[in-house]
Amino acid sequence: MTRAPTIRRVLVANRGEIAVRIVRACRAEGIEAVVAVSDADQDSLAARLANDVVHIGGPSPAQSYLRVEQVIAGALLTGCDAVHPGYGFLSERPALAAACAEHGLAFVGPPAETIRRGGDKVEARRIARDAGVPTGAGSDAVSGAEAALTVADAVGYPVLLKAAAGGGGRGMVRVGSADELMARFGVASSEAEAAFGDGRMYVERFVEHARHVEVQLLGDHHGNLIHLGDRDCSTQRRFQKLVEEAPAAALSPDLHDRLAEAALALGRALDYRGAGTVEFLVDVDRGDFAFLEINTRVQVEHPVTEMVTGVDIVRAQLRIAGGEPLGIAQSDVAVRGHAIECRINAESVEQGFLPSPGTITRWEPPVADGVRVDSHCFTGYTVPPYYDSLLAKLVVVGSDRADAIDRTLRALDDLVIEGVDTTADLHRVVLAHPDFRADAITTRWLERTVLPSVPHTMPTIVKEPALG
Amino acid sequence: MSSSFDAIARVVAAFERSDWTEIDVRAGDLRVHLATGPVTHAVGTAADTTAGVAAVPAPPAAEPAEARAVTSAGAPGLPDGAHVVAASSPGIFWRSPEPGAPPFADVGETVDVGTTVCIVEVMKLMNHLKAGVAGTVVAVYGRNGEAVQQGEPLFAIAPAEPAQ
Repeated sequence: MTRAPTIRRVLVANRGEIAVRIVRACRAEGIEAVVAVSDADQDSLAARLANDVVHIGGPSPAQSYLRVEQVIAGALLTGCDAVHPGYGFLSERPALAAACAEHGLAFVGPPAETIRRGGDKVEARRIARDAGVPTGAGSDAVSGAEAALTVADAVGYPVLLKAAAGGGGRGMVRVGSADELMARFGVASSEAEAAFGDGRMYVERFVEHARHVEVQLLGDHHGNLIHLGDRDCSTQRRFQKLVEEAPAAALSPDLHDRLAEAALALGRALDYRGAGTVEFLVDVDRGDFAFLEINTRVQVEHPVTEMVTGVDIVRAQLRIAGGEPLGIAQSDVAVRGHAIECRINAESVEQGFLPSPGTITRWEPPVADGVRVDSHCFTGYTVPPYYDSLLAKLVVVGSDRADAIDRTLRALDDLVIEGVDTTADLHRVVLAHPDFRADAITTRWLERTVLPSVPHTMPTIVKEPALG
Repeated sequence: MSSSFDAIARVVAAFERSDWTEIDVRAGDLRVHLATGPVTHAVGTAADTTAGVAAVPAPPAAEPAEARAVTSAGAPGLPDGAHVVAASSPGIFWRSPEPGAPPFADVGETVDVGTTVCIVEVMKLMNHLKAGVAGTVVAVYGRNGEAVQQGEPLFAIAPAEPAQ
């Protein structure tokens, strides 16, 4: 077993709220943090909090945060011995992990080969199946439209055509019939080829009444692998999460256990090191579940797990990368209470979730017991147009789910953001909805039940999904 | 860090053992800009930031040929009567529907009123900009993947039948 180097100084190769989060975790671990910034982020909160700042290029991610060589050079120039990729950007590109290894830097995440195997959705499905994890009705990569048709006819419509290199809601097409499949397969495959450099497609049964449930894993370099319970992220719009909760309260104790065991089995099969998340689709009607994908990075919604377990996932990532043993046994992990996260995005719900960049003229996050706000925003901050729209994660913990909902509603009332449009009002509608309180929701609930009752336009625009 | 010299040496050594074509990073009063190609590797420090930068007029070797375009500085050489497609919002200018795909419309190509000529990405939302006029693309002012400001000219199109 290779011993990872001890970490003294970390390059934070990300921006926004997660960069702030990582800087704070470094500080708590007694590690120095250097933040990599683009032209647009030179005065960011993360840059202000960091020990040092390195400028890595222009405002467009392609000029800065997506350039492996700029990140590595930035780390070397500022004397860092590790790189934390956050989520998005280069976090799931095997090339960054490989380049870190090549240039003597510790990568805060799993080895490049694990990222590659997890990122190839067809291979991940195969590994899961070999590990005894249910993968649901569907196929491996299909050779073409005819082969896809054979699979789809067997599993029944509707089905999802998914890109092997996709994930996180990207590269997915829902088709309702054989004719639609034949009409759309070619375009979907060539779009995947163009977007991911990999046109391989596979077929999955589309579950109408599904919940999105995921299990948080932590593994170290000493063979320890534990889970931190599950999260329910069923409140979604266009496959993108808006509200996340921990634990997944609608599941029976038996189903909690089976999901955790499945996640651990996959983690063991991958010799998993670092923080990772195994995502499942839980079929409400059938009472069973199927593996969706594994994310080999810290997840946006990791705070809800932290709030109910007391485990700091980002600090754990840093310790694991530094070669330390986990220091937490599975028997030490207990889930207490219920946590809810609202993603407050700079978007106008009225205008069909149109992005709303601009200057925040008033920023007053709520302050109360059990309330945590992960954000990079402040009064006077200008939200740049070049990155995703996440302004803040409002995270609230309560003694149980009902208490957490009440506290979240109060926290939303105390949240004041002026100058840009936000999704805060939509969160009030969601949290106050009787279906949500009854925990009787599916991944289609927001779009089918809530949004039609909220006045908004639906412009014909294509949205590239954010991250899970 | 131990010293500026060590910091620079680490970056230069990494550059030399990798297949990178260009790096340009800056920390405090230290800047390192290295590129392959006709220009010799050069290093600048704060005291001589200007000199260091000036010594490296390195052409970005990695820039794909089709992405090369005139950087907008008030739409130079705009032909008389040309229709200008300007950025609808601040964002990132994309000339192709997907990375690696051919551009929507290149200089010399004919377009229709409803032809998409580019995408301006604002907070991951892809806004497709239409030509707005039938004619021939005579200039592309934006550079693929770079930031644009609201109202910045991106395309010039010579109308097929100029209005009299």
